[in-house]
Amino acid sequence: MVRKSKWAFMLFIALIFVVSGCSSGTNNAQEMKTTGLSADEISNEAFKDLFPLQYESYMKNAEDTEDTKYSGSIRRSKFDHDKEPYLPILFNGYGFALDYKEDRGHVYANEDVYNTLRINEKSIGSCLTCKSTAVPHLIEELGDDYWGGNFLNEVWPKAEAMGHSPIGCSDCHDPETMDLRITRPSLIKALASTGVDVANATKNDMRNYVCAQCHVEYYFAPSNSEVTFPWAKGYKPEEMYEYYNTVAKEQGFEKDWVHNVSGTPMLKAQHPDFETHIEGPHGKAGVTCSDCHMPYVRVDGKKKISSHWWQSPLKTMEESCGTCHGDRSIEELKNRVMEIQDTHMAALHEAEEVSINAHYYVNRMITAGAPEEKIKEAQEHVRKGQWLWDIIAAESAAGFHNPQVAMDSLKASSDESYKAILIATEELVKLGVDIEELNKEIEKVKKAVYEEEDSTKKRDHATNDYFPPQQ
Amino acid sequence: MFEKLFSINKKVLLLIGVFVGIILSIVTVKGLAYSDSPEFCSSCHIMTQVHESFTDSTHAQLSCGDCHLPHDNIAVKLTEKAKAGLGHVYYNTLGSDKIPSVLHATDNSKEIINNNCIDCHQNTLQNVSHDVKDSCSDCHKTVPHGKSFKNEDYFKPPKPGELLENKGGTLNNG
Repeated sequence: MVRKSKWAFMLFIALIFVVSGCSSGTNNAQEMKTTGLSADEISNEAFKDLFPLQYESYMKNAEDTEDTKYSGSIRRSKFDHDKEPYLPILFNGYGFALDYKEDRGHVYANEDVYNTLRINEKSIGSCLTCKSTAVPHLIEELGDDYWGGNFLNEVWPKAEAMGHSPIGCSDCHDPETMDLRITRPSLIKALASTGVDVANATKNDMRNYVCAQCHVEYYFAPSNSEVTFPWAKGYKPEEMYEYYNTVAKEQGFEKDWVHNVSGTPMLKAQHPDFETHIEGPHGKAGVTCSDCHMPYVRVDGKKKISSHWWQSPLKTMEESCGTCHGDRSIEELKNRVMEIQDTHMAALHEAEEVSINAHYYVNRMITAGAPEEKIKEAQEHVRKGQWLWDIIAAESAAGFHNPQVAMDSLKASSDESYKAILIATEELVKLGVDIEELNKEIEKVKKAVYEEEDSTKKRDHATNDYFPPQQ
Repeated sequence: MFEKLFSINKKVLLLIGVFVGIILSIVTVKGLAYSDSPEFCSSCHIMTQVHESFTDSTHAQLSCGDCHLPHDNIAVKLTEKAKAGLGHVYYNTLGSDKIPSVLHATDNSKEIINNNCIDCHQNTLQNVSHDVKDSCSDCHKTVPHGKSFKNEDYFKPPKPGELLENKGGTLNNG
């Protein structure tokens, strides 16, 4: 009798475990110490059967999801009227004035980089760095010939031959152990330039660093075209600008392009998501990229995995925000985010507005024959003014990653652009130029750019007989 | 059988009855107390995170039920305990796909917790006016859970193999 009841009890407990799913899964995982994959594996599909939950989550990056107010992953032109219609003026003379689209999910990385009109016969291997899983092997095999090699003729065919995937599993995980890892040497070198040794990274750090391999500001080093992050003087827009005007200049890197309206040697900023976040309120509090962009989501019954569908946390607010901000309703939190983003975007558009005027005022200085040194002086302010809004505009959070730094930078941007306009105005008045007419002409070109329907032709309207091209 | 029982001396029967009663009530009391305890509650994975933050708090000597169950009288307490317990059993077994993404206290639970804060901290409320917010946790939001949303593991080098081990997902609510 005693034995029978003991067995009945054991059975009951076992039943509870089976129903609640307590033991299944964990045991299997413990037996498997490595994945059995090759250390060199770069195909996303090789991971599919081993990690079905994560793979399925990753493949959701293919979904063209509904736009958030200021972003989203539907591939359409950034020049659309509800986005940034005057960028073809601001980036005039550069590829970004020709083709600049809202970016899609990671699974499209290879397809979209290959198809963008910004890639041409002259493009270099470095452009593939954050798109293809073959890059670590390409760097190992080709060295400097990877960075500076021809994109279309040398590097891309080689990556295809290696059976590459778009940014995926092996970029952040060791294929054998699945431990997080850094595969892009640019990050390791850049962190070293700030005195940080990646070898000492904590679990928390790694949850930032895997993203920081790509979601950062960079330039191509003049000696070998290597992707380089300008961090040695700090992460703030002003500090990176200081870096470009000192360290990068000494290396021989002066500009990304010469502006076609103002003739200014310009810098183009790229998505400094890591830099803004890490010094922002969440970054300072120890929150990582992964905490909000890869929240724990319930899949497969009640088990939770880190989401591998990278998107705006505005789409996963319950998981991304609610885990910590449990004392606030999601609605309240969303309103707070929107307040920050609305204020930010209004300030960004104002800063861009002033920047446009600055470019045209300098154009008029050139055509009116203002003194060379005054033009140079004004151009320096134009360059800095544009950098300070562009580094914020290029960032993916519409100000949310670091509202304070974003607003500071936009304010400083307007200040710089106004300094250029002031210098120009003084010279133009001396030369008897009609300022009212100049302002009217600026409105005319803006209207022409705005109204052109073909996004690739908008840039052509930024210059005309009154504002001749300066390239 | 009953005849045999009744044939026993009434005094002895009474003694046995009292003895059995004592044993039964001890078992019940101990059993109920155990099922209020952090050890018992944390035996479900989903409570791992709240248990961790609790043991790291100034309230670590209390039991879960001290704050999470009403203490007006034993009947109210047991009713609430049964209600909550049945709910938890259901969600942890058959209703697992209905567990919300992130766990928050229900309105009912918030009210119970708040009353329990007041029960113990009555004196403070008399000494310092507390009339600004609706509930204690509006200000004291990290008491006792939530001091840190990450445990110390996050600030150490990553554990090799950890991700591979958890590839099927974890039952922890974090």
